[in-house]
Amino acid sequence: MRGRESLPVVSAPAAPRRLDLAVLRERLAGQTGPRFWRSLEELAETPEFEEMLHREFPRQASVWAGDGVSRRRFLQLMSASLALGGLAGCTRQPDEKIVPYVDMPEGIVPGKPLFFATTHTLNGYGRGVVVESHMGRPTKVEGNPHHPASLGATDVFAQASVLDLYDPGRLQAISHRGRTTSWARLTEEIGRLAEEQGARARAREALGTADGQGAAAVPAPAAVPAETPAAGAGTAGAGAAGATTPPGETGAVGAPTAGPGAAEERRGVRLRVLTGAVSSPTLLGQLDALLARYPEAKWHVWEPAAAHGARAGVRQAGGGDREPVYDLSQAQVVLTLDSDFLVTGAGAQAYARQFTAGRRRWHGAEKMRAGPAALGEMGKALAAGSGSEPAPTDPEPAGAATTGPAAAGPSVTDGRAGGEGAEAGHRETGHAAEPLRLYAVESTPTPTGSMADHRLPLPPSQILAFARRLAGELGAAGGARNGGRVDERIAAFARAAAEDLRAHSGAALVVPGDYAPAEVHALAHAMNRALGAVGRTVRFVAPVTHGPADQAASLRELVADLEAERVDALVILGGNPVFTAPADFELARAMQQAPLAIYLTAEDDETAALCHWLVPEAHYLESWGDARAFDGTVSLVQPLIAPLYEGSKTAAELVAAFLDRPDATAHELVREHWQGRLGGGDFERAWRRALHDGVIAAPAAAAAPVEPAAGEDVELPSGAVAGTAGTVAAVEALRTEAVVDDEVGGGIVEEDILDEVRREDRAREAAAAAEASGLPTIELVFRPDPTIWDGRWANNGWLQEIPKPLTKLAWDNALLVSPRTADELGVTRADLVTLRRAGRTLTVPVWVMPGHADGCGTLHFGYGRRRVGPVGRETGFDAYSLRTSDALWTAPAVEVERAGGVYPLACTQDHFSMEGRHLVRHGTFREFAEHPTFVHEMGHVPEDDMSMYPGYEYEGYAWGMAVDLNACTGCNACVAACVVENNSPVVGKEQVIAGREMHWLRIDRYYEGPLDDPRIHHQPVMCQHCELAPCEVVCPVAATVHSDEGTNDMIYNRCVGTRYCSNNCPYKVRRFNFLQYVDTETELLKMVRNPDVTVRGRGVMEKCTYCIQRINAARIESKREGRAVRDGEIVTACQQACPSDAIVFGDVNDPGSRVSRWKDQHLDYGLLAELNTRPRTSYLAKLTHPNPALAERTDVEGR
Amino acid sequence: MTTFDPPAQPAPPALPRLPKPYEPAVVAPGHTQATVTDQVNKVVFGKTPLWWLAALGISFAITMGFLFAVIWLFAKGVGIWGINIPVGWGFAIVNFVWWIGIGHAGTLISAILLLFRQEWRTSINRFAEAMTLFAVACAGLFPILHLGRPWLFYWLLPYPNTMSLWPQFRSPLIWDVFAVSTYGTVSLLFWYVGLVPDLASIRDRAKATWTRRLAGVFSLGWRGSAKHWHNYEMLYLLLAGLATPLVLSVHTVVSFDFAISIIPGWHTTIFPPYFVAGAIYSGFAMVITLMVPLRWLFGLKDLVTERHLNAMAKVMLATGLIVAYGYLIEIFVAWYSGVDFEQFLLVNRFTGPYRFQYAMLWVCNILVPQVLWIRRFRVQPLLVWLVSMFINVGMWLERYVIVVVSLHRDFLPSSWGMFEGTFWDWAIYIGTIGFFLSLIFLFVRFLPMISGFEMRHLVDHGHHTTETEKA
Repeated sequence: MRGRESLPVVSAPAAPRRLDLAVLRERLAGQTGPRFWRSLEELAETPEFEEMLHREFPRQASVWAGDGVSRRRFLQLMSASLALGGLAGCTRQPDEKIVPYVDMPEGIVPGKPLFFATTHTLNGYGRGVVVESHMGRPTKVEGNPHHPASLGATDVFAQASVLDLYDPGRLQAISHRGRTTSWARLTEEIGRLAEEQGARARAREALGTADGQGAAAVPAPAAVPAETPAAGAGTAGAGAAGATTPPGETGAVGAPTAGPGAAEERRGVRLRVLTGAVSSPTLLGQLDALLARYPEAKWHVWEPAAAHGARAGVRQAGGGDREPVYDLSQAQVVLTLDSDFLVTGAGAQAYARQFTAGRRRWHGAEKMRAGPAALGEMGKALAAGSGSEPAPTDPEPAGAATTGPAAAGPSVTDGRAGGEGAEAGHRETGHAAEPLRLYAVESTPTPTGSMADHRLPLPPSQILAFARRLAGELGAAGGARNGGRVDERIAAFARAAAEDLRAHSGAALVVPGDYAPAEVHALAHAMNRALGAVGRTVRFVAPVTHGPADQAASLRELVADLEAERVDALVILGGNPVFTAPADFELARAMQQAPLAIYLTAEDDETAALCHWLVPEAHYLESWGDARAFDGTVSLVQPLIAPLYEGSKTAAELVAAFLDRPDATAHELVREHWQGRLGGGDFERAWRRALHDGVIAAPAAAAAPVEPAAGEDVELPSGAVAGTAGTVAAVEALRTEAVVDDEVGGGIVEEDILDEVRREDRAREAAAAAEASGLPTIELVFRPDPTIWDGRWANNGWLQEIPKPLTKLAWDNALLVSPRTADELGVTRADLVTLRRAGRTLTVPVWVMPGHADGCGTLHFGYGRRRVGPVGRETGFDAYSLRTSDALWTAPAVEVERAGGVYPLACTQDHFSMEGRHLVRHGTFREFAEHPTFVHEMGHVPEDDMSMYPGYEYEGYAWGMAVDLNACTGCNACVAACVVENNSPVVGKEQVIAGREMHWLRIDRYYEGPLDDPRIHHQPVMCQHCELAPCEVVCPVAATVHSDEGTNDMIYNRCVGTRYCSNNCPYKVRRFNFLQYVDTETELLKMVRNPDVTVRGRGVMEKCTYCIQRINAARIESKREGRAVRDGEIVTACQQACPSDAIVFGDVNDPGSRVSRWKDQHLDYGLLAELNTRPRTSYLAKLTHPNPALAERTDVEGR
Repeated sequence: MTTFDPPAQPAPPALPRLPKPYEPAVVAPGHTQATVTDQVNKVVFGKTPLWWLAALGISFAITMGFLFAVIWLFAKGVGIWGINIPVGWGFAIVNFVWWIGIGHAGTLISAILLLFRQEWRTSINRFAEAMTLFAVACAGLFPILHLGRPWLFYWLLPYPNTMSLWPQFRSPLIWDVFAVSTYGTVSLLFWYVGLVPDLASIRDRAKATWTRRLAGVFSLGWRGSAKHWHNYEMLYLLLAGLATPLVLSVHTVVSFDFAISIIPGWHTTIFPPYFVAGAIYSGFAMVITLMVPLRWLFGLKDLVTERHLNAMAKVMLATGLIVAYGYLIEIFVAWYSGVDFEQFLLVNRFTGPYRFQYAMLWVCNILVPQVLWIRRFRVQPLLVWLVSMFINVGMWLERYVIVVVSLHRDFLPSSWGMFEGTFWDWAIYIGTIGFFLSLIFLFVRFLPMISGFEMRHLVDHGHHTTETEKA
């Protein structure tokens, strides 16, 4: 019945609760053609699946109650709360001008946006962004092409960060124990602290106990009588002579305004500062000053999702205190060890761009159309693995401009220069004309793994063994060629990969994952050294973020101090540590010992509940600051808008209050910091240039994005120094040096191996203990959530609703396990299980994830917030409750017990299977070389004249888009960008479950091949703008029509909501406002909307418009200048955000345009083109580059 | 005021009728014109039966629930239903097609059977026409209710406007607007014209002032003159001729709502005939569903006899077989086309998550009605009623399968979804049934549900027939 493929008809067994994996495997094995499937249950077509669907959509049962719930929930989501609106009414409203400007502010043309460069920071690492501002109101974040960590692209977090600015739930005023107060009161309190504690310290001294140690002997603080201020005042004058200039203070800064003797007073204040990772030179300088001013103070750092093992790994490998920076433009073969470096991590956008360039080395535009003979030649060249190819040509024209509709901001040009640079670099290596090959060894499937040519799922414990084996094969230090307890399959993989890596020495690279243990990092760098990668594909820079190297130890010290009552005041600069700290620290309990806790925070979170003073943190779009990128490049943070709430402060301003400068603004602080460090003599000019470019010493950075910016006026410190105060001294480095080749990799010593063996033994013991309890155990992998990160964006509806890569879950986390492991545990998806680990338990739903390593499970942390704004309430499960300091990223032997019951999970795409349809077309480079038209033979495209209606001749522009499936990593940046640009509403979990998510652009994910290790494909699907659009003919009111430039336009005003267009759309890209999704009540949320895009009300159909507002802006601009729209002048939001350059848009009537050249390739095909829709959006088939030495999967072939 | 009694007046054109001795009489033996008139009018002039009050009360309560659901719908939007992307149409369209289908019986019985001179239609045509009208009224609500912005429904009408915009005439939804509104109008006219002589009769007999006045207004001054009868017969025949093609066209156009699209399961050329057959099928089923209890409750067994049941059951059997043929052809074509998507749809209907609905569709529409092959069963009121209930359910399921099952898994598996009716879906569906029944109950109480003058004519003929039998 179904052609060559047999039907997946199962004679439905009576009532088996779980998937029969054996049957599934058998069925998959029996398949010949490419076989796509979306989920295991679908594949099985089991009755449970239907049952599950019914359970998952229990609307029947829950309507009466459910509607109320969803409505309430809905209001929560959309408006946060009207009560807060009332609060906002208490603050002083800004003056309103009702007359036009008498003096027009510079550069403002009403209705036209301005663009400003600033820096978005995640985990301390800065990423340059360019922010669109409409009449002083930031609405959209784009990447800064000049910034090496952005190259014009962004990630989901930067895109969604605008919403945080306008979050109605933000803290709006300084409060003390719940009562609104003022900054002046807080500064008074800080002053009093110094006086009182200074006195107390002297009292302690008088008692003869050493500070900070004999706390028990110190009389209770309450015992200190009220005369303290007087005593303090008395000593103030006396201490004046002893005051020394704090070492951290720079000469350029105005002298501290502290009264005489201040330092003496502060000497005894046992101040504790807890921050997240900090790279901001200004803030580091201040912290340095603070530590100098308060000798008893300590600075602690806790960043829950930092690469905790990376720096230790480099140190173990003998590289000192450095961080690795990779350069894929030089790389030919890359192997990752549990790494998702293309999508998460400080340099992900840059790496993704380089990766795409590496993949495209081979297919220059001309060659794609070359005759079969030439292609045959190329095939031979590939087979020989030689460099006989002519110098490859980049498909991009030089400087394909991605100029956004920039009006007065920094000109956004040369956004795609990364590819060009990669090309140039590549030619030098000699490994010409071969696309980059990626091996991924990973526990939990990642987008990076989905891009790999060869992927090996291994539990974390075995990844270490694999790394050791691989290092042994490569002859790297620390390796063990015959050791490392791995089975033959793994050993074979290691052998083949090692051979391939070795064959490409100098262009090979091993990338350890951010969350891999230090040992893996050490081994990876040893391998890199053995492969000659150091200095070529990897170099080492001074640490970008500072503070204690071992954050967990640092935090433990703080907890110990708190519990021993050795803390006078605790200052927390953001980060919500009470929620994110390792569970065994019990920071919440310890915090109660703090006599004074001041918390700088944007929201009222778990930590805020335990702090006395809450200071609203200024959003980065309303504050001044600076940050350093993954490669050390510094960029400035400049505000787009005055703080929405008067009391908002930045971390630097709060620290300044402790340095007797309570009135210093962040602007002053940052300028003071850079005065003298920037621009040689002409600071003002350099400052403006830095603000304009969004990067300091921009020209150098732009020319070679991964090279650190070289500022001639800055001293290079003599290497990194451990310790807090010392590190701060090294901060001012604008330039970092590559570590000499020989230094790295030599330091792996036997102890490390022994340590690893000991660790394995411990794991085994734990497992044995667990087995005694009779419950199955798994290794538990912790990862930050792909959309809400460590929990800080739990209240961001945009991020909550973006389906997570691969799982396509929204609004929740779940325990991800492999099909085999799920089977062994006797659970299937959405089943609740209880995880037990060292007396801690957590009940979570299970999500069966093909491609996950067996015997382990992944749990994303960040969910399960207990004190959070209305959006994040009751979402997900708190993985932090199992995450202890000895198992920050991997917990061995976690017991799993079925808890009974199921939990409804909102999944946007995983309900269904796909079989035998050529939607994602793919092959290998070799197949393509041998048979260049294979893509077209996968589907029959009707002739052009097969329509009842006469064709239309497009005389002017004809807009079109192409998507390169070979580049798409599924990172979701485009989805987020689309949501922000086009005012897409957030609908909430219930509506997502109901199938009503409003994203105009979705990323379809398909699995293919064996169940345990499938190939993973991503396919961004937006409106295809069909030439013969099925939606247009069925609309009774002509609300969707074709424009004379070929776009399929939607006229919202005219739409009456019959929904026929959506029914008739084969791509199902249309989205309908089933309810009033857009919040039109909350004033604050009106500010976030793009004024160029209509806000849709209920009952109206909507869909991707190709960002028609951007097309119009460019058309108007070009008409005004009397010219045609230039290629690359129009950049759609998805295209602009894409880090891997997977989307191109332009005029298909112009044969020279980038999109035309993409569409001209043999790889280009139309999705469902056999329906004669003639889509304007087309896809470039995915090509992989497998290693012939590793057995080809049989299922990949077969067309 | 002259009383009106038409018996001796020039009869409507005396159509030659073939004796059918094997059929039971259209009117039970022993009736005279007077008894027939009494039978017909006693419902209108008789005392209000308690059961009627109870039935109307229940129906009216459901109608109120319906109004509440509609208000909620207008307040919140169609999101209160189970529809989503990809299943953009749900109960609203299912119900629309179902009601429109039901609405086919009346016109068919009145117009086509009139033209074919099936005299047995006389006992049921008035009622069937009323049912048609009410069914079309229910159906007509749904296209408006289902709109995302129902207050703009008039944009589907071609009227000159300041926007200088016409509807999009390529859309089958526009064809629907014309087809359904034309059908509704003609059905109303047809029903009303047929009612005029009986309204005059009521006017003449009524004692209550308001009844007299209202009937007087609506009987348009009918005096029963030969000229009136002549004009009446001409008009009725013309309207029958006009309505006849409409019976075929309405559901053909409704089927275009689906057939014009590109969705597997919708894009099918067999839809027009198969929809029309299905419509007649469901229409007759609904007539039986209502008529069997009513003839019992109002004691009209002498006027609606086994003959009628037999004839209607035969029509159901015949149209049911056409529908079955449609189902089989769908299966065949899906296989024969070689199109993956069509074949997948077929497999999905049989094995997918909605396989129960699909199986029940076969049971209700095809399997159960086969008992009607046996004559003994065809004249069993209870049994025929049960079969008709199966068909009512089955035809609703047919539309459910067409609308929901085709949409829920179409081309891209990434966008597959599930649909399940919510409380509000059911509230509005059941609400229209309540509305429909309310109208029916009001109709049978206040207007003659059997055409009195035509029945009187039949009595004469009925005597003939019985005498022929005797002879």
